[in-house]
Amino acid sequence: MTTSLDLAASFDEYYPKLYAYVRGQVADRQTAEDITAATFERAFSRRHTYDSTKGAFSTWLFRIARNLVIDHYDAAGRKPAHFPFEETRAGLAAPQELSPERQLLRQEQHQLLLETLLKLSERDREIIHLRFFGRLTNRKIAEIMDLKEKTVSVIILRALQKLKVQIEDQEAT
Amino acid sequence: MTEEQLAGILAEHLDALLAGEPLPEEIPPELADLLPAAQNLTLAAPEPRPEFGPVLKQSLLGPPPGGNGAAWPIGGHIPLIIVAGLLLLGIMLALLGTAVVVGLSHLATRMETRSTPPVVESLPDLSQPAKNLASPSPVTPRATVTTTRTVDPELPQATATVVLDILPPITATLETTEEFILPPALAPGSPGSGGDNGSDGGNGRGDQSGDHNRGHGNDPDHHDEDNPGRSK
Repeated sequence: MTTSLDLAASFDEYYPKLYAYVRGQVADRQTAEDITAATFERAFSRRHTYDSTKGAFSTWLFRIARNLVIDHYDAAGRKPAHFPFEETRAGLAAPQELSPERQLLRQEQHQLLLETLLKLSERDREIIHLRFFGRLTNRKIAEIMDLKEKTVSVIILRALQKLKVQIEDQEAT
Repeated sequence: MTEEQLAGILAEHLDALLAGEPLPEEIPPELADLLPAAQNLTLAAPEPRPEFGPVLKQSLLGPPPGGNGAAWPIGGHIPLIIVAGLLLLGIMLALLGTAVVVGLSHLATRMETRSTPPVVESLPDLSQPAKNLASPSPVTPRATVTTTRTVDPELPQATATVVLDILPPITATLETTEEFILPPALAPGSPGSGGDNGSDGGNGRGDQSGDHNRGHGNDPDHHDEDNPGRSK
């Protein structure tokens, strides 16, 4: 059973989230844009194969993106993802709203967060990216990663605990 | 409270946080310190370039060729990157073809400007018939000259074959005529011949055999002065 899709509405809803997830997985912005574009192109061109009874469209879309990221790893090798503060939502916030000192503090916090994320395992880091960058529920993440929903919930809990400890340690030093 | 229970409650709070909904007032203390970290993570989400989204959307959902709201054919559309790639490939092929044509014309110009040695150095004079032909036979003059010369070590070797076939076929006929040449003294009508006839006894006969018969009866001493070895 297939379902007709409002492609424009789907694009508007999922494009920023999908890009954020992909950008967290790859090393540079250009690759993230290419994979994002390829994901939507593939999803829209094969939309007749999407079955809404088997899962949400977002799950199907992010699964396509994940496969493309894995293909990219196979072709180009896995490199640590690093995106500068200027590419983040906080970095793109209106600078005039913050004082220079506050802006600098946010930049340091972002750098600390990135370094802490890189200390997580690849699986845990990807789950964090799906949860906080892709803004997916634990159930959808479990479907994409072929895990149980409870497992995903526990992984996120432990990852946040690690982040909190490491950030506190860094700030203490 | 078990870890799974804490994880379940955290999931509910995170769903509200990510949806922009207000968080419940009662939050377990184990989770209260985690929510600021979760908030920082949402702020750390990478943002796409502002100009990338509209361009991508236009390329994905833009009106198909012909407009009028027609839908793209099933199976998707031609991505912008493929169209650009095909255009770039066409331009590269055109440039390559132009370079090849210019290079070949330049090479041809260089080869023409170089002096070429005479391809025909010396040919026998075929306009005159041979002098010592045993029998008349038709002769077709034909000159074939093959010149191979390396113009430049870096350039490809050029081989020129010139076939000259410009002279008309010549048929030479050798006519031979047999002529007996007599010594001046024996030539008919010469002054010496009449004296001999008179010496033959004046038989009044202009004997064509001449002196050959002189020693055969007419000559009294049987001596042939012209052919002494055959004298009897």
